[in-house]
Amino acid sequence: MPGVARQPFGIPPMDKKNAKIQTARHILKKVLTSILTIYVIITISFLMVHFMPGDVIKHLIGTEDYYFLLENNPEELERVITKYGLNDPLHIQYLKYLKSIATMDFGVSYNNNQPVIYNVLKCCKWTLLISVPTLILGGVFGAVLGIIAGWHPGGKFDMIMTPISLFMNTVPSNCIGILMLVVFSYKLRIFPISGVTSGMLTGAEYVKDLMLHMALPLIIMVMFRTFSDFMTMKSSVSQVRREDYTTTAAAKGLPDRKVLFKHVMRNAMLPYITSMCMQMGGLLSGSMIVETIFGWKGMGQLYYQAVTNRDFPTAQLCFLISAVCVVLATLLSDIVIALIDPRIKEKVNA
Amino acid sequence: MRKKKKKNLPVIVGSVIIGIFIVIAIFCEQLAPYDPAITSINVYQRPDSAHLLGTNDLGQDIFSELIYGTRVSMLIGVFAAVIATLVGTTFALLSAYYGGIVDRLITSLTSLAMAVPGLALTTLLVCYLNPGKLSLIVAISITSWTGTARILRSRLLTLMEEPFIKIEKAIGQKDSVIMFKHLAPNIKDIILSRGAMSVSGAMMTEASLSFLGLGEFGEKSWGSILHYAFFRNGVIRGLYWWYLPPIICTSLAVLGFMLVGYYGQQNK
Amino acid sequence: MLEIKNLSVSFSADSDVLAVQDVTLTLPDKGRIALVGETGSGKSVLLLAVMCLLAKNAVVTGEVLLNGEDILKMNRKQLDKIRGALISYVPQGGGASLNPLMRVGEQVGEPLVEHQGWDKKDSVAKSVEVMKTLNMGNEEELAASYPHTFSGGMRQRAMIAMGIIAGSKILLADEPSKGLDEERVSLVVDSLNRLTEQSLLCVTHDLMFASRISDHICVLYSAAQVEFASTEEILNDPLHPYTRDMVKAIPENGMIVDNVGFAPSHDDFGKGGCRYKHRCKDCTAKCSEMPPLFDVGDRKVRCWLYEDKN
Repeated sequence: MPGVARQPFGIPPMDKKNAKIQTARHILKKVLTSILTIYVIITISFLMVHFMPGDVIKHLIGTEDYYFLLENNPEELERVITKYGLNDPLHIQYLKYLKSIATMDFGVSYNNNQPVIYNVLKCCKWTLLISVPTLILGGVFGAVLGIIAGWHPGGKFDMIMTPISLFMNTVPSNCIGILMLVVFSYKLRIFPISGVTSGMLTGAEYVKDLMLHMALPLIIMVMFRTFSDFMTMKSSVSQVRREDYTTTAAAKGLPDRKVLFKHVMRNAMLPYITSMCMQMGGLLSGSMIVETIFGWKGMGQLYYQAVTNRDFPTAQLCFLISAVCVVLATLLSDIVIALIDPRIKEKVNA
Repeated sequence: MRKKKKKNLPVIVGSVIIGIFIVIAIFCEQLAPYDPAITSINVYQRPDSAHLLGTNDLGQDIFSELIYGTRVSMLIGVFAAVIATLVGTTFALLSAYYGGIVDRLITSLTSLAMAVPGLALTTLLVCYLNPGKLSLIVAISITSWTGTARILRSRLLTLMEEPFIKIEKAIGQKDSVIMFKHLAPNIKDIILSRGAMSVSGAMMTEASLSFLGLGEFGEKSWGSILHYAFFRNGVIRGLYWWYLPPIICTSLAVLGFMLVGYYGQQNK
Repeated sequence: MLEIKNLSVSFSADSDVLAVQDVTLTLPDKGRIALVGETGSGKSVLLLAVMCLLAKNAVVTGEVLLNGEDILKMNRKQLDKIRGALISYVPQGGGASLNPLMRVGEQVGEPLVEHQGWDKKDSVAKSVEVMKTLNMGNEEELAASYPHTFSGGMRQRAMIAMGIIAGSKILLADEPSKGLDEERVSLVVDSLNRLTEQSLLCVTHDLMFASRISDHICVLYSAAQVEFASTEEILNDPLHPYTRDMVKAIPENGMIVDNVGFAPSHDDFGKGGCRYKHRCKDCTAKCSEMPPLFDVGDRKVRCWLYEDKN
């Protein structure tokens, strides 16, 4: 236990102003770390292209195009190589790369010759449309179920829910996705098979159609999220429940409900909040499989198609955006926890 | 004694599942009725006595494909997990034992690796490297060692405070001896259960990647079978004997490793 | 007044291993009793059983009468009404005994909010007042800070303040001196001795600490009560062989270790006979049978040596 008995008797605990400065310093440190992390990730994504086995140009324009140009149009190939600056020394290439990122110039997609950033932003919208409800619904369901199971570990609810969620966590999402697709779309014909909308619709019709298309992928994602959040919350609550301060709270004469909400929940929420923030990092990148199965035109599918079509500018931008999201989410969780948990600053200084 | 046995039931069930799959993986030549690569004109056959699970779009025997797929899936899953666990354990040992700058370096490396979205990086890597078993293993293990490293490091840090480790240090015992004779045996249970969890994680990732068509295609894994079933209209045409078996096999194997990992840890 | 009658605790219905065996004890108003016993003798379980705070798998038999009402027969609602209001449990002030996310003043004042409907602000002000009566020093700042900044002794005294704040007249304290150095033990003793209105049942492994805070001592050995007498009588004229050995081992008496062997394992509890027979030098054939609690004057001893003085 850091911080316990470290303080000699009689010395007053940290005053409030001091504590605020320490919190600010702690957060600033985390912000700087995040910026550094993003920079490192950008560098890694540059190095990844340049140090992978095989010719860089093959990665950049795709193997087939490379051989096609090599045989039919060597001048064009040379022009492309010059365009990418592949004849420059590595550090010049690196600086150019950094500059292009700083100016938000991510190049043009090989697929539709649109600026990559435009394609990506268009897809972000669709992904957020299912991943934000997933985060919220899954978070709430998982928390409620997890609290019930964790409050009485070994009870009936726990004994039923834990194996189920363990099993659900083991079924790969593509498998469940296909099964649901077969049952609800092909056999029962309740939901459309794939895509975002049927097109040509406006107003209420459009919304209804969109909801129908959304239903299956959303249900699957909420289900997975609920079960994994359930496990997080359950273990958190059952651990806090064994802590001494839970007994202390009950000994004061607090009814179960107050022990749970005032003492157990507050502490159990700490790891849960961290986990929720981390999930926010996956808002854009976490639904690749489900999007692919249901033909949902989001970031995941864009990324998947970019990778299979060797559309590297798009793939790279998707990758960078997802990485930045994760870093920002980590930062968010650090800040939130630092504001809630008074012990954090101590740990940092210890 | 009775109570103890009851507690370990999930672990036993998990071990049995794993055992069966390992046997299948080792003896696939003897078990498979056909060579899964051989194509024939009998395409899209329903299951019958000649072809237990029918045939696919190329007339290949799905049952044999499935049995050979066991070997590929298990191999990739287990190897990726072994690498991830070894890397994670080594980093955790170095980090907890030496502390200071080593610890800070490894901790930042871990949080950096955690900041990279796993499936996205793996996908990108598989795409850059040439598709195949090896690149799958590398790509999966490169993102999956972080969890093991974190958990083991925090466990080791408490262990480092234990008197028996301090005594060893005080009498000037060699670092390697302390690490491998005193520290490592004390966390071997956690390493094993984390290892089992890693296998299930790696198998899930492999299933996803192969399903996306980024896997091993010379020898099909379960995920690749599902890929063909989905993208060559097996699902739309309702050929359940084609898409169901790989789903069941993957889920079962993952469940087996998960049971061993989760409940093995619980008893600690 | 708190009367404990034939209280036994076991942790599974079919097991004959008892964590507490047949303890009978009366805590009068303003009385101060210390329960002394070695680690594992079931002292803490006894306190938790009295408060009905044991986990559900615990089987508690006997009676615990608080002003004539049996606590063990109360439902949760009735229990919530008396816990912290009439009878308080003061947990060991270990690292996790206070909620790390709440300010200490708020936690100390919580019984007032719960039992007397105070609002939070007033309850914090009152907690400062109560901490002042315990002479903690810097009370305002203490109330506004978080538990992790507290030392063990401070936390222990904050727990005492929490126990008395809602006017509870009976305090059950669990090892308040454990893990503290001498100076802080003295501060805890000081705080406890300032409680003139309350009666105290304090569990401890430390005979010296017990002698500083109690007027009567009840000695437990391996889950069973072996001797009950006033503090002076225990220190100057112990009757039970275990008490005698324990008193010999305190510094003033030369720290002589006069018993033999080790305490029996818990599996041995059910096999009958005097629990101390393995280590006792006065052991006779009769000791294979469990002696009843003999009255010697106003003292109680569980040893066959005092059979005829009954």
